[in-house]
Amino acid sequence: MFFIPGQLITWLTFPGVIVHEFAHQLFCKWTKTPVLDVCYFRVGNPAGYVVHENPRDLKVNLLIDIGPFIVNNILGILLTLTASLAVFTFESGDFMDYFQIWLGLSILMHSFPSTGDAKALMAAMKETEGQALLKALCYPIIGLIYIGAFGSVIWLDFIYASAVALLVPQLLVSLFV
Amino acid sequence: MDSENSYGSCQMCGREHRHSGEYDLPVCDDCRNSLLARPFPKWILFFMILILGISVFSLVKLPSVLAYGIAYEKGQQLSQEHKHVSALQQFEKVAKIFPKSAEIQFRLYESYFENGRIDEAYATLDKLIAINEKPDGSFADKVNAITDKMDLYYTANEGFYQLSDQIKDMTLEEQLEKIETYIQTNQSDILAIYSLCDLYYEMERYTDIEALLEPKQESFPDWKLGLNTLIPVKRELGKYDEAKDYYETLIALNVEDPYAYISAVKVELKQKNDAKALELAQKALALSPDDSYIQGVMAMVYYYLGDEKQTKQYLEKFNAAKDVDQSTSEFINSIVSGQLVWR
Repeated sequence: MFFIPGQLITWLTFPGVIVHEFAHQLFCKWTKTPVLDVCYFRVGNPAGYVVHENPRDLKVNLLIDIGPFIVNNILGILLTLTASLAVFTFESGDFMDYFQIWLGLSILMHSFPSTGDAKALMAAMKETEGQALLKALCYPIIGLIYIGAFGSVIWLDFIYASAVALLVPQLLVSLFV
Repeated sequence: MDSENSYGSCQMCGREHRHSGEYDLPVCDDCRNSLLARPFPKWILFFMILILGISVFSLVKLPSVLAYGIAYEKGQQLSQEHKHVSALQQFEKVAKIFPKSAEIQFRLYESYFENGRIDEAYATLDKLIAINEKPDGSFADKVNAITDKMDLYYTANEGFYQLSDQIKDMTLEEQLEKIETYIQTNQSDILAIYSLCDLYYEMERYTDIEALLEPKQESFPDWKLGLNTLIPVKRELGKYDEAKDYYETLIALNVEDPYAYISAVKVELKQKNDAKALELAQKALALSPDDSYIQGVMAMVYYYLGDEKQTKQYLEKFNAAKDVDQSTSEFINSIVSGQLVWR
């Protein structure tokens, strides 16, 4: 593993950051949660953010937090689905295929919610009474968010993105063979 | 003051409003609604439309790309099952779309070799080298493994080609003597050995062929030319069990090779296992329904089964074909007419 500054990675994968924040805002809209401020991309840490009201409903909180995971994965998979076979299996991609791979990987790499999202979810869990089943679901999600966040130091986000880009098309093909 | 609600200033506009406690953010309804209606910036909408557009473009391409992915996977599966004719068809489909893929050209190369289409195999090797001049270790190993076999099984040493040129106008006996002398000092030139055995076969020197070919076949169990020669040799020598072992080996190498089944048909016919011969012949015919030689062999099988109608039907097709060589035509016609007592 070699060290590349996180900022550089973020710049190289900026579409993923934009889509991540867009997904948060989109889910805020859908759950009628007011958004106070949005930054889709900037130089700094975090590279993007969405400031919204803290929903009282734990379900809404969860949905807003995992919004990027849903949206980024769907878009990332769609983008890499066809290009992956051309580039990785047949090593015969054209410019558009490589562009799709870069775009798809960038978006997939930013599919994990941030530790800020995890903290907001933990705070919402503390304030919520009952809903034991939902809280039980939130704990592993929070765990995965932290694993994803710390794992990015060892390229876990890239490994995840590559695995999805490589394996999903193969899986689809194997369903029909 | 209402005991269920509190009043306070809106955090945004400062107006007095009733804070119901339902929401975390202390803003009035108007401000809440304006926050909810916060639009996406135009550039974000444009950006997301672009992303979605490319995603849709990818989705539109999906059926065709998936078809090639499936063809490639099927081809690999078929290849593992030794169904090399069908595997080749799948790889050819993919190669039309990805002609510059070294992986696909390698699969084609391998399939042409397994199907005995050696000229096309060598042509594909040239394409492969043009695409990938400096392949990595494992890829080069795969290619070289096949190239080594092709050179061994289908290419004689330069010395043999020169010899062939020199002896082409000599008598059969003189040719034999020259080739036999050559082979004494070129035991590794198995194509030369095969060529000698070809001459021996014309002279019905079956035991000499056995002595020369069997050790080589043991060293190179997937050498098809050797198998194709040993099967009829064992058959003519009456060593039917050994012939059967060899034809089963040949079929196993490529279960879609119709001529492997035809070799087997003749072994079974010699033993008067006509029903078994018919079963094998029908497999060959299913694989290559328009092949005139196979139709001729079908005529033979039905002749021995006593089915005059089918014999006549297949013989007519065989005789109408323009690609049948004279000796084969004479052979089959003479058996079916009863002139040649083959068994």
